[in-house]
Amino acid sequence: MKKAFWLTAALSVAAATAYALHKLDWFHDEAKDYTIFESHRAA
Amino acid sequence: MIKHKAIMIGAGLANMASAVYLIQEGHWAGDAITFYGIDDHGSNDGSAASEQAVDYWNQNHPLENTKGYLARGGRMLNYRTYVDLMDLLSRIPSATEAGMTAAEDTRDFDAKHRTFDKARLMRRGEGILQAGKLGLNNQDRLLLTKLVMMPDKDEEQLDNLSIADYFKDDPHLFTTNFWYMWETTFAFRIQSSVQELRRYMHMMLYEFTQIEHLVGVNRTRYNQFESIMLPLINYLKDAGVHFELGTIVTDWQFKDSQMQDEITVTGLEITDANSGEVTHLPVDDDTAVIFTNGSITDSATIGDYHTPARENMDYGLSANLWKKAAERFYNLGNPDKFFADRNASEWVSFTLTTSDHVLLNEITRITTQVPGNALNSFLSTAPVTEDGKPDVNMSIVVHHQPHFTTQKPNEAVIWGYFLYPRRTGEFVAKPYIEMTGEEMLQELIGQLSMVDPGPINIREKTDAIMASVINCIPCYMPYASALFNNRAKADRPIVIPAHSTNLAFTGEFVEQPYQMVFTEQSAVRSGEIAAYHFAGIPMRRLVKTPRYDKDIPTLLRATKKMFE
Ligand SMILES: Cc1cc2nc3c(=O)[nH]c(=O)nc-3n(C[C@H](O)[C@H](O)[C@H](O)COP(=O)(O)OP(=O)(O)OC[C@H]3O[C@@H](n4cnc5c(N)ncnc54)[C@H](O)[C@@H]3O)c2cc1C
Repeated sequence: MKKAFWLTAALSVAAATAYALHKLDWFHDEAKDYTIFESHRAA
Repeated sequence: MIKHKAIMIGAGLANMASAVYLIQEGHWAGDAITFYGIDDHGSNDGSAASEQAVDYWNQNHPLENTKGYLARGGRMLNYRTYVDLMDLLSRIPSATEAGMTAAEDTRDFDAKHRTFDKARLMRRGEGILQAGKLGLNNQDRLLLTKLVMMPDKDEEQLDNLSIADYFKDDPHLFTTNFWYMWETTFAFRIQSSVQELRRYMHMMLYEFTQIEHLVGVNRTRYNQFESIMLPLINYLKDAGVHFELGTIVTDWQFKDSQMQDEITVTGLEITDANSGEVTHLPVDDDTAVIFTNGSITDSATIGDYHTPARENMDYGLSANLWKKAAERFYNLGNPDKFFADRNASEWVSFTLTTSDHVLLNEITRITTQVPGNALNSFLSTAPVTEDGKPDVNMSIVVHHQPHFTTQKPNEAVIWGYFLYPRRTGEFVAKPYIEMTGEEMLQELIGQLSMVDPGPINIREKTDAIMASVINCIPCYMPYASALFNNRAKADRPIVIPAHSTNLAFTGEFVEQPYQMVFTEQSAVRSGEIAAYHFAGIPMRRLVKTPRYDKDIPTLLRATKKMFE
């Protein structure tokens, strides 16, 4: 029972953190910011 | 759209950087590149005043006294975040230090002269303040945190919001040490864009944690003309690049296209600044046009020891040309946002040259630090803002001496500025903008006298100080902070606008990911992007930008700092 509680708690914290980091665009790939220039070049 | 030749409009840092990358990374021949520009320094000036008195902007202001030195601005660098600038400087030889690159030169100087400001803020009757105590309350902290945590993709939510708008329910922020230091370190005014403030909070987050000592500030050995521009000019000239200086690009010819949105420059109108003669320059299919579409020192004017700097109402020659392009194409931004609101952008600076070190030593005694270390700001006790609050009156930078290679051994050069030039002096009863160089010096001595710990007050040395003056040159810059003006993201063109086949925009009035303007860094990066575009180099090879706003230790340190 105790184990299940801690597992659920840990998973919830991980999910909340992942959600927050996603919302904050934490893993944004900088290279993507420049694709606009590449596409203008290709045009 | 790969090209093999380039016309540079404007010979400032951004375009010179572009030329270096075209040559070194694009393997272009130097003589495929031609600069058209009013001068070869742009904002990064620095020379004997006699040389600058004949510059285009100063020709209509004959001065009695052209002695001493002049640098309209001085630059604080930050190696941590100025990664593109340092990359550029590592590619060219120093102009003053044999056997060193320009990057090694500045790193060598900086390592031997570390910045550690001990008197960042001073106030009448109190002397040096404990500026490390930022003085933020919970509402300030909350709003600043929200700003820092806002992701890049949501930045447009801050379109057309000024700093005053964003903090409208929190006027307390503008009475904190944090604000006094932030506004004077970076030259933000409350009318400035909060979008830009957010970018600064991101890029300068690391510096936020040590702002009272300016520990992360790096400096060049001499003024930035000799330490940054001259190495670039020498390198480019040696590579065969052509410079057509004293020229103004005054108009465009664009190709007509069915949808009226293809941006292809087919010709330029060039005006000789001295003779007024106009010539037409055709632009062929293989030529890129790289344009610095705004300069914060355009229309700047100078005075002298007995003459205030007169106001020049010119719109600015770079912005004039930008406007002509923006009137024709809808995706090239809105120059009026930046160049039609002097009230939000103007400042006055001064460059003081003395024949000895009397004043320098007095400042060293009062601020308890050696020259070359600091930015000292003097806070008023009386209300000076429009809504009746105290604020910083003036700030000074005492350079490491010599600041110019031709300075005589005992000469000293000091620079200072007034962020709000229409406010009235505390010791000379007139607006700073109307002051002569002599009156600005009197104002400085007055401010120093009020924070002087004694026992002999600096006032008693006034005669000796005045006798040592070679010149004090006021400089009015109507657009100094224009790049911070309140705006929307779409008010600046991106470096390579959509539908452009051969035109790129560089400098401080372009939109590029993440960069903060008013920096040598962003100017260089814009030039680098333009070069990579036209030389066909993949953008992933651009210098990698560090993201301190996503660095957990930095975020934790910044959070802790907010509670000091
Ligand atoms: C007072 C002051 C303080 C500063 N402090 C700092 C600091 O602490 N740290 C920092 O990093 N940066 C600082 N800067 C900013 C830095 O100097 C600029 O970011 C940098 O110089 C921008 O380079 P640029 O090439 O974009 O523009 P500029 O240096 O302005 O050069 C552009 C040149 O092109 C010319 N030009 C444009 N269009 C035309 C045309 N149509 N015809 C002819 N010529 C044209 C312009 O007149 C100008 O001479 C400061 C600047 C000033 C003025």
